[in-house]
Amino acid sequence: MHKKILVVDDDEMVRIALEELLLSKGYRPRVVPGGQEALDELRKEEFDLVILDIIMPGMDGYEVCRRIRSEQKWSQLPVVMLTALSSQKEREKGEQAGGDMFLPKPISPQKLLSLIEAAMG
Amino acid sequence: MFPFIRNRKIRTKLVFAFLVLLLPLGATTLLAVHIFSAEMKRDAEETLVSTVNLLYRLCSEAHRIAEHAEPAVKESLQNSVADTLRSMRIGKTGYAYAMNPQGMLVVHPAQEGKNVYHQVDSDGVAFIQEICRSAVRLDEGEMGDIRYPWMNPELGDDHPRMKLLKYRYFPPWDWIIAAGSYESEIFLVSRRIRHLVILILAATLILLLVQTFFLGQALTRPIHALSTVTTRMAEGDLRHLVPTRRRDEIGDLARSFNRMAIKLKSYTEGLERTIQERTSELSESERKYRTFVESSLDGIVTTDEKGYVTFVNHGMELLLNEERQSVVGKHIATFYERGIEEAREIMAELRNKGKFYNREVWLINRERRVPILTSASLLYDEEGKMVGTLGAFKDITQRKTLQLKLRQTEAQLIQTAKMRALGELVAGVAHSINNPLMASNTLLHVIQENLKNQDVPALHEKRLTILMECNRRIEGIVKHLKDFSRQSEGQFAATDINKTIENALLISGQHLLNRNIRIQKSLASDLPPVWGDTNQIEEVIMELMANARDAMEEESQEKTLTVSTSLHARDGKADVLVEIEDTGKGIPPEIRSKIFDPFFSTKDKGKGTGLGLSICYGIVEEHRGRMEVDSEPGVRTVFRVFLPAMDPADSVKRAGAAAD
Repeated sequence: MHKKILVVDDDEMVRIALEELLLSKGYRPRVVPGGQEALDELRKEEFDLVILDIIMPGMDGYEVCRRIRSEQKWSQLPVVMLTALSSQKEREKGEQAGGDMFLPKPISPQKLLSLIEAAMG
Repeated sequence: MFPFIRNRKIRTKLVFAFLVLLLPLGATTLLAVHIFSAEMKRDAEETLVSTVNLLYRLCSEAHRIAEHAEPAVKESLQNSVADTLRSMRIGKTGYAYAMNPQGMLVVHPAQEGKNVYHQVDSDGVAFIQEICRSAVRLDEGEMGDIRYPWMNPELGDDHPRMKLLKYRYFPPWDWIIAAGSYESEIFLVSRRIRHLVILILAATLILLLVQTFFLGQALTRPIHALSTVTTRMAEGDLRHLVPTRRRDEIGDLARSFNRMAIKLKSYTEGLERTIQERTSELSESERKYRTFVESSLDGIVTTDEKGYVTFVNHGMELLLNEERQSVVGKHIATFYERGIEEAREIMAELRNKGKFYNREVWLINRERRVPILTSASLLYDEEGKMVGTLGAFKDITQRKTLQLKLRQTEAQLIQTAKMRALGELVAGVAHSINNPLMASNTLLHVIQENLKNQDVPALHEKRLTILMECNRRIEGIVKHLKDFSRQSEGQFAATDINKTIENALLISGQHLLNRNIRIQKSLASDLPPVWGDTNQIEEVIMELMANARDAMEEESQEKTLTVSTSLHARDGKADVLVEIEDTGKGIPPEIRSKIFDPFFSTKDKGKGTGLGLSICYGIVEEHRGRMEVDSEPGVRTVFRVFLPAMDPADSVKRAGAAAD
């Protein structure tokens, strides 16, 4: 608990919902609307997990993931990708970008919670 | 009359001409003769008259002289006169004599001294009396005459002849001085002359006729020869020329004809040569066209104006699968599938426009029907009258087949494009729903968790539950929509069916076991792969298994799900058959046909979207397979999915294609 989780999603409702969920489970969430803001936050603070939406205007999730992974200090940072796209191709792209998990949207809150817990080890 | 002459031959014409000339001539001659004989007659009379006058003067002179002379002198003078009188001859038998009024022949060459007072002529008329009586009544210089018939046997007369007598009375001597002769004698000469003239005339006539005849011959012979030769020329024989050496007009004509004949001959020869050339050209051309027509693969047909076939080429024989003989003479409508209707329409169009191109018709080839493209036009004779039609027929079976395939492909492409567009739309919709859906779900969860720690009236809990259920339904629909949209994006590869089934069982196996459903597997070994999208096939199997599970939900007795795979042969091709059987409540026959319809569901409103089976059906179709259902209500239901097996060559090809 008290783990810091960065949530990156362009949809406001999703951000609010996830923030509430994480808060209710005792995590310390930070929500940002896009890739650039995410990188800025990462530089400002240390996080235990990144929940990354794929489809976003500007930088998409893959790009953000690659950028994260390009930094040495974030190479071990768990990145969970959330997306409506779930084809094999997308999964591969996610893996190539450096993502640890590839979760579908929508996903049940329970499943999400158990999986991010697993991701953080 | 003139046309009568005009149409006679030249000879006749000449004859007529000469006759016409002859007529005035003859008339003139006869007239001359007549006048001549009249003159002669008058002359003869005059002779008698002058003889009598001469004798009278003689007597007068003698008397004058004798008046003053002695009686001996007077006697002598009288005798002289009498001698002269006696010896007077007129013509052959004419003579003179003197007679006194008593009828006594005073001076007479033959019967001097005789009294002939009572002499009668051949008619019995006492002509001497008459002479005597009238003579004394004569005036001084008046002449008397008398004509009387007299027969003189001594002269060889066998009939009385007219005699003419002229007389004067010399009173001093009481002499009636007469001179007379036979009229016929007088006339004899003129008659002889007349006869001579007539003879000459007749001879001339005959001569002329003969001459005319020969002249005619002479004229007409060359003309006839000309005519014969020209007749032969007219019949085409130009070799003979008119033989002539004459220099006259006929000769000129003959020579002209000859020149003309020569010209004609060379002309005709030239013409014949040209005709021959053209004919051979024409027959060569005809041969070419015939070859062309016969070797044409298209059917060529001519008909008469009523539509009866007059000619078909080999191509048409092939099209109709009939011999020439059994086609020519029949009506063209016999060979149209639509029969006389078609023929009438075509004829109407031809009459209207004269010709048409590329009309589609169906012909009857024995038992089959053949699609044909036909063009036709009307045929006319030299006078512009319509005498028939000419048509070309082209077999477009291939084209039609291709057209059909094209249309099918078009339809398929359109369908695919539609599906793709729809898929994109649906994907878009689904995608847009996802975020709010997730947010909603998540927050509900949070609220629920919060409420767990508080005392909340059951009503709130119930409401929350319902809300979550709503979200689940929305989620389910969205998922189905995504599945639906994903159909058009299948990623095909060689798929092992058995492995896919195993996967599916892995995922849903637990669920099934939880419901006390026994799973029976019967997977054939050595199944060939199927060209398909693993995910999609897996989805189908999962959907079918889910349906089976739901069907057996109310079952109290044993629930068994049987999954089997096998190789199924069909028309020489092999399918992989997947059968999913359950022991559930089954499907009544009346809804069995609707089972695969989209949005058709037997479940209550809350459960299922009705899309499941239709999506499965779509996926199976995409895989070129087919899906069947068989059911015994209350006993069992089996779904069969046939997927075409790949043949080994295919798999190599496709593997290669997939790698690209």
